[in-house]
Amino acid sequence: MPLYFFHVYHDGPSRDEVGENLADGHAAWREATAMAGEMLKDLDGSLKPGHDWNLEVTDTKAKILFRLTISADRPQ
Amino acid sequence: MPQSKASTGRTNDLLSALGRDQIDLLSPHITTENLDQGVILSEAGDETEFVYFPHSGMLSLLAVLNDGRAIETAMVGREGAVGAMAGLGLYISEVRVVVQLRAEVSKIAASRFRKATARSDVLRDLCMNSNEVLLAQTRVTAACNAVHVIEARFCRWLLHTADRAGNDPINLTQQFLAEMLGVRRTSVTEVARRVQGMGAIEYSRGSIKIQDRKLLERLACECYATLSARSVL
Repeated sequence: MPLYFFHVYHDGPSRDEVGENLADGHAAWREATAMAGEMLKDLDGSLKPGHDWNLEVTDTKAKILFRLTISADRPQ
Repeated sequence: MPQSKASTGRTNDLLSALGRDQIDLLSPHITTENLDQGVILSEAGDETEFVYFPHSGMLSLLAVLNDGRAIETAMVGREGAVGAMAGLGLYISEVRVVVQLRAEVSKIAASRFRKATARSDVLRDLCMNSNEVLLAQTRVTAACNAVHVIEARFCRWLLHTADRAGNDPINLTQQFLAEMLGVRRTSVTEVARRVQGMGAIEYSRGSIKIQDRKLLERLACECYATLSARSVL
């Protein structure tokens, strides 16, 4: 099974050095969305207007397969 | 009561509190053994074969779902027992019991324990108290899992585990930790990186070392203090 990496960027990178063996890209997408759901619950006020929260899924060649982005802003 | 004394000198609180009469009922049937991390002592739905009294280490009680996922509902160390309700006639275990941290335990066959309990009010009380402790933990854990963020639960869990690990390193895979907390492995990886980044722990190759316990306590949810204060852990 191919290896996928799940990197989080929120006021700095948090690189996944371990990775996860998953069946295919579809499984990696499901994992990313489930992980994002858990992580977003954890934000709990720490995401500030003007900042972003990103989750990137890459393969072993560091190619970005998916990116989930939560943008926070305060319209003027 | 030589057979209820662990070779390390550490003893189970429940066994230590028993009087001579109860010890005499149990000790001919008690054996002490060491259990390796990861060993499954019983599966949910199994008949309870043995009652376990840990002297060191920790046993985890997991609820198992139909799809195979499991989540920790309680942990039992030196202060408690696993399977004690067998003494009152509960024959079927509702949980999977796994050795979370290498443990030294005394164990007694459920059938023998049942016979001893039938002859002793003190042992019946022990069964009830042990069950009450597990229920109290499960109540707090249910609320904690539903409401508290993963980072706080991760820290709470590490503190409780460290309290039972003594000076031993905490050797756990991220997959195992994810199961304990009922979250994705990838979420545990991210949270472990974050907590490490703050300097509270050092995590490498499945081994966790606590670097700053005070910080870890600040990051943990109230459930660490709640369960510790009630002496249920």
